[in-house]
Amino acid sequence: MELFAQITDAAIVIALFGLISAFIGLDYIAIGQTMLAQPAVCGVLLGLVIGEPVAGLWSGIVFQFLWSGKLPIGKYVPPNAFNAAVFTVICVAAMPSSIPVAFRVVGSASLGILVGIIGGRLDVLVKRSNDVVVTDARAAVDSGDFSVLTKATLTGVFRFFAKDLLLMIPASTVGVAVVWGIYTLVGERLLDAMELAFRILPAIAIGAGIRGFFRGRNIIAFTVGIVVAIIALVLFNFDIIGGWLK
Amino acid sequence: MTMSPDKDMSAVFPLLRVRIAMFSRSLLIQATNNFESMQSLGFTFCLYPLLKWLYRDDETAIRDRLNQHLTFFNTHPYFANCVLGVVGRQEIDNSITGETSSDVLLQVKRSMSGAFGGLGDSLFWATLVPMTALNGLIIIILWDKLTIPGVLVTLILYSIPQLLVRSYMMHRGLRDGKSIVLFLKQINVPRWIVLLSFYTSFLLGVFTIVYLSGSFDGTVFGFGVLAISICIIVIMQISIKYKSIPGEVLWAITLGGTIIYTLVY
Repeated sequence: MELFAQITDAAIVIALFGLISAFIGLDYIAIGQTMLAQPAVCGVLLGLVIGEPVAGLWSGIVFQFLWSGKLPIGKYVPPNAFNAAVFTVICVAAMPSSIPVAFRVVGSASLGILVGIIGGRLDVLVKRSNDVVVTDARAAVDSGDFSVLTKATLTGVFRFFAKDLLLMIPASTVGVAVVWGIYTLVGERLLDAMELAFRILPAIAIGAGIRGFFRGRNIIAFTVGIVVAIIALVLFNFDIIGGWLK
Repeated sequence: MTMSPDKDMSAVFPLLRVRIAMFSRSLLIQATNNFESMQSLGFTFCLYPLLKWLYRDDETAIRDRLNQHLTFFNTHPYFANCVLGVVGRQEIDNSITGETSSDVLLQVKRSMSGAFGGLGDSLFWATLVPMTALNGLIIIILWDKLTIPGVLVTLILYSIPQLLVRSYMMHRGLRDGKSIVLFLKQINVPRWIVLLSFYTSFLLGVFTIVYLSGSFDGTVFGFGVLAISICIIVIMQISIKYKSIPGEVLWAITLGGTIIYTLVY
């Protein structure tokens, strides 16, 4: 009976946050391109909403930087960091809190990488499907129907919305089932590994971020940043030693 | 192809409502992004209010102009507003002079889109997005009760300047036309990119220490985590030469390694 209630809760969380994320996801490509759909913002915000701020912050850091060297230039479509970050947070929220947070976060984020790559491929599909919209729009403009410009734009917006919705809900359902299933089968044996991975995996994203930014003499600025941070932490005694990851 | 006879020829600047319509539509320029003509439909969608204002009920003229713009166009979505302004200015001038050839206009559009694409990618995607994200994340981690302000700082630091740049560029393009290039030369965008990427690298250095100190809790376990994290960051740097090692592969190796290590020991 308790399991049934947990599954019902998970289904509600996935449906609700899947819908919300599809709306926020419009900001990633289709509307505006403000920072709202960037992992550092939407990951942290969703983490706060679900009551798992550390999970939100963790996924925000990881997916903001993991693919930061891959920019959407020309026809290249990079993996979708928004999909990956939000998938991670939704899965963390949908799983029962009896599963340790490190296990939920690392398990979800590992699958989140796959979801981000699939999201990028689906972005390519949406853009390909827009080819037809443009062809149709040209024909309509030729025949004097100018309202087709608005219709085509709204269709494009809807396609990106549908893509996120159709990706996030099934992917989160599978993700929750897989991570929950692994925990039920071998969770106890993997707890230490997940705790360790939880602490060290963001280093990969930071490394990827550094790799993405470094051009020429930027390494000097990076080194100055390290020195200034060490001095500031010692001088102002910020209480973060072992803090934010707990 | 001439301007509507009842329109004051001296009032060559589009009405506020036309500019607002163009700007608000420019936020949707990527909605119809496609591989065949990239942002052409989005660009034409943005330009439509201006053409409608210029040619009113002259459907043939509007159709001709729209068809001219439904060809390949691709630039950075924020700098697209600048091109939109310049092309809009050219359209206004053409409608006044009765110029029917679009060769110059399309040439200007093509050359600007290429140059602004590279500039926008370097300035916004590669520099300002990571910079503002790092600002927010550092604030959130250092002062953990300031999560909401940290997120707001990130949102405001990025969104307001980018909206201002988009609207000002469009306004300036509509006013000055092609000579906006002189203005951009004057403010020297590439120099700003270099300075901002220096600041971003500085923030990344700060963030690396903030993250590492957060993962170190004074225990032997914490020391191990710290050492492994530093090793990973160094490995990522060494692997710069080998672009074939993506982050996700290193992720899989690290996760697999931790699982094997803890299962064996």
